[in-house]
Amino acid sequence: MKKHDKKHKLTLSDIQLYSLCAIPIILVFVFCYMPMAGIIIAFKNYKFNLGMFGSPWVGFDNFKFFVQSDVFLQLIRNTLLNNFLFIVLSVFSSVVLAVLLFEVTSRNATKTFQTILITPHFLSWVVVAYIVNAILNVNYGYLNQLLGVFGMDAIDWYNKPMAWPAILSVTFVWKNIGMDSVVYYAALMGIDSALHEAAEVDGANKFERAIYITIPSLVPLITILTILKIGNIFRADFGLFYTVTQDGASGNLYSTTNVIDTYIFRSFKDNASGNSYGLTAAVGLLQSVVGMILVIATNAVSKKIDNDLGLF
Amino acid sequence: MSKIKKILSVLMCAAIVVSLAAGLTGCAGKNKADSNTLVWYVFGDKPADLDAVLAKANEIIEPQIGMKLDMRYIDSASYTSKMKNIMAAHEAYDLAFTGYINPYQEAVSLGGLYDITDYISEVGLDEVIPEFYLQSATVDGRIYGIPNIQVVSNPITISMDKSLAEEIGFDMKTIENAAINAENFDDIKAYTALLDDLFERVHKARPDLYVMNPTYNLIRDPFYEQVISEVYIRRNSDSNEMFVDMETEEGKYSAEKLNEWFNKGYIRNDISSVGTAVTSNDEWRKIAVRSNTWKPGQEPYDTERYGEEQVYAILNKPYVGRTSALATMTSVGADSKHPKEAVEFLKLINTNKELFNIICWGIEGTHYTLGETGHVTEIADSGYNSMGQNAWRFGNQFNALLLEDQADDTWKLTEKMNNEAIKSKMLGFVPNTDSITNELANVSNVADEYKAKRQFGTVAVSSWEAEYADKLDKAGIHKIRDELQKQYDEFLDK
Repeated sequence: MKKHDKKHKLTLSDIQLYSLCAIPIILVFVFCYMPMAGIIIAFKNYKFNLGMFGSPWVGFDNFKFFVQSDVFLQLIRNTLLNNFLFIVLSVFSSVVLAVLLFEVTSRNATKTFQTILITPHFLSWVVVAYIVNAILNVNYGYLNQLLGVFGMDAIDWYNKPMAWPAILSVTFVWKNIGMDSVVYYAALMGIDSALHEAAEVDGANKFERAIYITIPSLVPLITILTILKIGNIFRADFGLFYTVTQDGASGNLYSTTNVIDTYIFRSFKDNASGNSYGLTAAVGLLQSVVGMILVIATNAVSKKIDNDLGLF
Repeated sequence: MSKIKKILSVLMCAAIVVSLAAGLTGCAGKNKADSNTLVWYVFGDKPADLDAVLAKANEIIEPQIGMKLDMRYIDSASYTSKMKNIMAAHEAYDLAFTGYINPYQEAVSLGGLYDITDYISEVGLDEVIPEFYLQSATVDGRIYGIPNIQVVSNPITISMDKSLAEEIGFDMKTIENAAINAENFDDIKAYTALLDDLFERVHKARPDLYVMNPTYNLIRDPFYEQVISEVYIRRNSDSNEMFVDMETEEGKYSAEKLNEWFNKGYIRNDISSVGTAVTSNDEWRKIAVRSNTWKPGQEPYDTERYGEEQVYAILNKPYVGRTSALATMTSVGADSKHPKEAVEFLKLINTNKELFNIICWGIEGTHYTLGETGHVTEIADSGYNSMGQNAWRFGNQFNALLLEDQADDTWKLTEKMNNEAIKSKMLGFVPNTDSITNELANVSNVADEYKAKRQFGTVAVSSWEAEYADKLDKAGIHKIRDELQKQYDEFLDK
């Protein structure tokens, strides 16, 4: 750490390093900062012919539409609860999986498990939607066939909104668990093996070692990743909520699966109001602002608990 | 820390400057098109031989308006969104298809189209396009595009295989008569009882088929015309009263009937996840009683599509709705550098049959051959196929050459049907929605949420009716209706 305290002169190797990250910085700048002026559309009644800057200002009218609407609470509830479920389940399951994988000693077996678990990550949500449909379809879905074997009636899952937080959670975890657990697994590889050997000498069994050595050493990483996820808790996975539910199965599933992102998309697509640009930009901006507040708040809280746990 | 702040502030400033600059250059417009070219966006897959066909077409166009035509194809799935981007980016295109995709009224309200009202009379386009088409396209007294003339009065129909109708001994004409002559709720109930009878017999005879498809609401759609949102008006009535669909006894009755039909297994039970779109001939053939629209010359197509000769029940008299003519239009882009030439071209394509048929069918001998009767036979894989069947993409369909299996009088009958059809009293009425934008967005969202329940009958009406009415009311449906009614009354007074 001493190096950083010195007045630093820009050396050739520094320039090399900077130039390495130049492309990502330029990308972020071009695609994340430059378009930011477009935020003003959220405060305007946007017309093509008047342009982004010439369209009439409407103040906070575009926000009012959303906040006052009946659907506001439904969207907040669905977005938060579903994402909360996803975060808890995916963190829990991927940590458990990483710990279990860590205990597998055969290298070939570890690689095989990882490959199998990661594969779903590379499937598009549209493909996943059809896999889910193959399981849940009321006429020929596997699940309903299975119910039939036990003499039960087939259930039209696309008409049962209460079942969908569970269905979506399972789908989400299934798709993401492989990738998430790899991160934790990599962290576990970094644990000093002397700790485990010492514990083994002291007579700790595998379970005790996992509880007292493996998990505690993962806590900083879990915190950081959870902060990042909570920052995105207002941002629902559009592919999951739109395609896997078959567009909310024509409205039947909205009560539990209509989230901010699908709402923005539908409002924009229908454009029933004639001012879809302004209205949807406002909702999107609100979503981002709340997301930013959440990141800062979570970070502050975790720093309160332990100063080393914060992300920044 | 202060260093980070400094860097951040520099970055922010730079971001603002650059996006301002981007916005300004955007305003300046980047017109890449040749200044002597009319750019025309249409949807569909670009035909391989487009360049050759355009060269031929330009032999006619250039002497007449002194400009060349360039057609740009965008696939239909992304046409609407791409056109929005093109309009938002102020691209200086001249013409574009607007209508059932890339909606005309939406493009007008977003300021994406050019006001061509004055050019229309200057160029004489109003002599070519019948008045009620122009009336439909008028927004606040101004016109931004021209309807591509085609069938605009097609009635709703149900049809079934002739053999099945004979097998169950059902005469479709009884339903047709009951529906066309229905004047009040009792008549509609009597007509629905006939539907019940038909569906039950079909279900018994062919349990392997879905009895019907709920693409159209058979109890509502033949009798109502939608204004906007969930607000409707009665078609054949002296009353000018606007109402909310589910607040009438017919509306409620149709919802209950749909639920009854769904429960009896007449409608496919996974309808809420597959939707109403019937996309292939195979799917059509799994449905016994098919609801669709009808137009003259439809029969040979239906026979091919459904696999057998059909018997029809036409459910309403031909009717031109307020927005019927807006389904297929060609409009002028807001940033067009040649609006007058664009309008001149619109007149040319709608009057010059030779030019129109080059755009529709390609070059004779290369892409199609003419039979003795003057009907088109396409040359397979010629690089310009299946364009003319959708001539309404380009202009007046009645100028298009007919296909070999189409009857000689197809266009004549269609035109006659259009002209003799009942015209909606709302023709020319374009509501100004500025004061109800938020309500419209909210109602649209509620309507989406109850789509399966309302349109497919998947859930018992009693369980959602009150909730739906309450949500609609909170979303502002009554404010919308009152505002529309007020504007409509003013319109009628004029």
